Amino acid sequence: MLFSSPRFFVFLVVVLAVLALRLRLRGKLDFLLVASCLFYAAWDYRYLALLLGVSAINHHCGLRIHGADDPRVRRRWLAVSVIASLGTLAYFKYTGFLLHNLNHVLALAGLSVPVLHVLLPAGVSFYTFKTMSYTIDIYRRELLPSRTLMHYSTYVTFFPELIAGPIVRASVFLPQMDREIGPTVDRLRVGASIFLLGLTKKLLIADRVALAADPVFTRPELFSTPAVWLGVLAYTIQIYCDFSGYSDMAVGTAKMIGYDLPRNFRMPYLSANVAEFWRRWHITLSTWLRDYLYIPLGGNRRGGVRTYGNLAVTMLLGGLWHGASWNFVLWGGLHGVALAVHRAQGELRGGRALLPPVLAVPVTFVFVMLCWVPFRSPDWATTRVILGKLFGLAGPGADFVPVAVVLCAAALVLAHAIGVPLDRSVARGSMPAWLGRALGALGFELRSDPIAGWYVVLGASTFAGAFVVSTWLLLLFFFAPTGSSPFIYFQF
Amino acid sequence: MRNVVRRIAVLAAGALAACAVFEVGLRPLYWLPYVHHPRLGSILPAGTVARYCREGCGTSRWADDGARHATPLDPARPAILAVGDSFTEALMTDDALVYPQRLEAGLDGGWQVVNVGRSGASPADYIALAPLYAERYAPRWTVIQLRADDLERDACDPSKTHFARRAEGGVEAVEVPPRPSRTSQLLAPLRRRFALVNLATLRLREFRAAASTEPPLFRATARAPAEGTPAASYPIEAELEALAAAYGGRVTFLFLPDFDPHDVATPGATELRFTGACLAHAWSCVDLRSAFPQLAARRESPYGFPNSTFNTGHMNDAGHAAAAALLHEEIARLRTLALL
Repeated sequence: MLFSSPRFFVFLVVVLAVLALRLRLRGKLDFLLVASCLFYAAWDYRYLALLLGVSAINHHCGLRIHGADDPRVRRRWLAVSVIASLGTLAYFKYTGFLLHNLNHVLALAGLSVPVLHVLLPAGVSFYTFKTMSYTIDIYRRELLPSRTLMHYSTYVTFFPELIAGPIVRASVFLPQMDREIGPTVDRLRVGASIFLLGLTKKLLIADRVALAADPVFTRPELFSTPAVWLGVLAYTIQIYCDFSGYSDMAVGTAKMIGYDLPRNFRMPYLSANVAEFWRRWHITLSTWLRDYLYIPLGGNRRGGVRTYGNLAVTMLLGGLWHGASWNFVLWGGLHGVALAVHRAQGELRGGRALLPPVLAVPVTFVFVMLCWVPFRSPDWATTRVILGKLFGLAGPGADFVPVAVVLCAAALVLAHAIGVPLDRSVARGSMPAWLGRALGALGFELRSDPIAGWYVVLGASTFAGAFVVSTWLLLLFFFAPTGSSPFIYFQF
Repeated sequence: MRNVVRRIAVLAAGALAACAVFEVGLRPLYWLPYVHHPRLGSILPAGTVARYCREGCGTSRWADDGARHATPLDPARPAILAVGDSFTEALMTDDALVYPQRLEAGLDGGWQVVNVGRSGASPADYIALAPLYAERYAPRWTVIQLRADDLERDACDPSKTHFARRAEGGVEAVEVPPRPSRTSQLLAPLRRRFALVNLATLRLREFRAAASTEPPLFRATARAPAEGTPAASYPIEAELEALAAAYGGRVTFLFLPDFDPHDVATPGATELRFTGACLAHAWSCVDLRSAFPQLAARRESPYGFPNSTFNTGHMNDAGHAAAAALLHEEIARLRTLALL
């Protein structure tokens, strides 16, 4: 049940219709839990028990931590919770990888162990991070435990963000569960506007450029240097639009139901350095890693060398979180080194940037783009061929210029040209007159909230607005690929 | 109440304006005013100048109902018929670049090459329609374009005209007349007039097909691809014999294999059987694989377009040029042998 599939639209309409009924809040929350379980079971009902089991253990641990005064008891229950969450993640995600690598070592002594092929439960990386943050926040006395297991399970299994985030912390979600939910005209308008933006990113851009990226990452040896650069650019566009598109659809769906989910992206490819990139890219993961890994490791409180080490370790583990492969470790390691280098040069230059923004943004973009090569490549051999091709070291190939990449890159530049003044308007608290007039003529509204950030709410109350929205829908209808592919982050 | 009516009117006006803009914008990208023919199915009628810009971009002129030719057909000129599916129809390629037109341009003696390629057509169709083509164009020779799939699954697909094995051996074509749906019939006048309606009906069909084969969300439920019937079990030699017989033996088979630039030499199982049958019967056969080494050397693929995917899909300019060059050589050989 992909967000972009007809089946999901039917599911969503049914969920919204039931939530629109005059039911007690408790009844609506229970229904939401059932709907989320059905959504998850559409993949594989067997792993539903795992999801609910992890929820039950962590809920119990949360109550125990909260109820205990003895620090040792509190620590013990926290350990149980973290072991349950991390153990689940480690077993399902890394067992095969560890045994595979162990066999490489054992092969030196002529030994081997059988490799287990464990199926990865959908969303396990996301929901285990949610459950861990819940008990850690209770341990730190920053959060009160959820009242009932049903209540807590509704938070953990909430279907819009169950499979691929955003990683919503309990401190953000649980307080919202006391308010009335269900669709209203305004919620539907807001949610549909954000959902439509995400759907457009996914179908019109990500799935289109995937047609250009996939062949390059499947058989890079066939392509020339410029064609490989375009293929890597295509993937750079694809992963952003695919993942941020998914996040927008999750935020939009949640808004329709009546919940606010945190923003996950803020125009990351406009970052002037790697640190800024990580403040704008997959924000809920990077803040999670900061709060629950980097700071507990010591953060930047223990001197230069230790800080650089902490950055590298955090990013290496962040890379490994994406998947059990050395390629992800390399990707995380590259970002970790870049963060350390950026921090070191900042300290040496007294906080002054090395490059002016006009150069820093493209340099950061190219670095991020090159880092996607190991991230997307199926193996190390492919990574080497692509990197060789990029720098003209791996022989000739076909000069294939995919039109979709050029068009989608242009569309992204245009979207950012609109997004930057909107972003600045929200930051300053005032909007340039021309922008206000343009939005007013279209009948659109710029809104913001502390959790989801800013977003444009579409409307069809004026001729221009109806024209723009209709054109947008027609573009989707006529030009979206029909066989939509699964979201990239579903595999993590 | 008045306010509600006003808002609905504004909404409708905006939506209509968007449709009007799309209609104007779509015509240079997609203009295929199909009509229904009782035997050929959906065809472009004589006099149509069609535009197709989804996979590749091409303008095609239709000199006769379902027959593509850049200039009006001249009954006095000797004709070569190019029969095939969407690879020969080649809506995504301009007239001057498709292999039948290139072949005609390279032939002397006033020959005209009539392109009756039709998307979705099967080899059994070519047999069923041979009398109709003979009556219309009296071809002196016929080029029949084939791919491995055409001789395998497509040839035996009971939903369209297909081959059935005869008790006494060999195969026969079982004709399944094309039947337009009721909705299609109802919308036909609008589809012929508006590119928007024309493309919208196609999109709805595509969405319906995609919904029925919606990819599973995750790997767990990923269905294993259905085991295909092994190539060896298809009556490929009998199919080729039937095709040759339907056109009085005056045929050249044009085979289009998949292209792998790193292995241009190894033929597939069906291709081997095709080549074997050609040799055994001394048929005139052309295999595009002969052009693969040059294509690989030029770092080109015969398939795929810049607005689709490299080396996937229909023949591009390079593929059509290579096919036309090979056919030209073959026609010259046939003429030397006084067969043509």
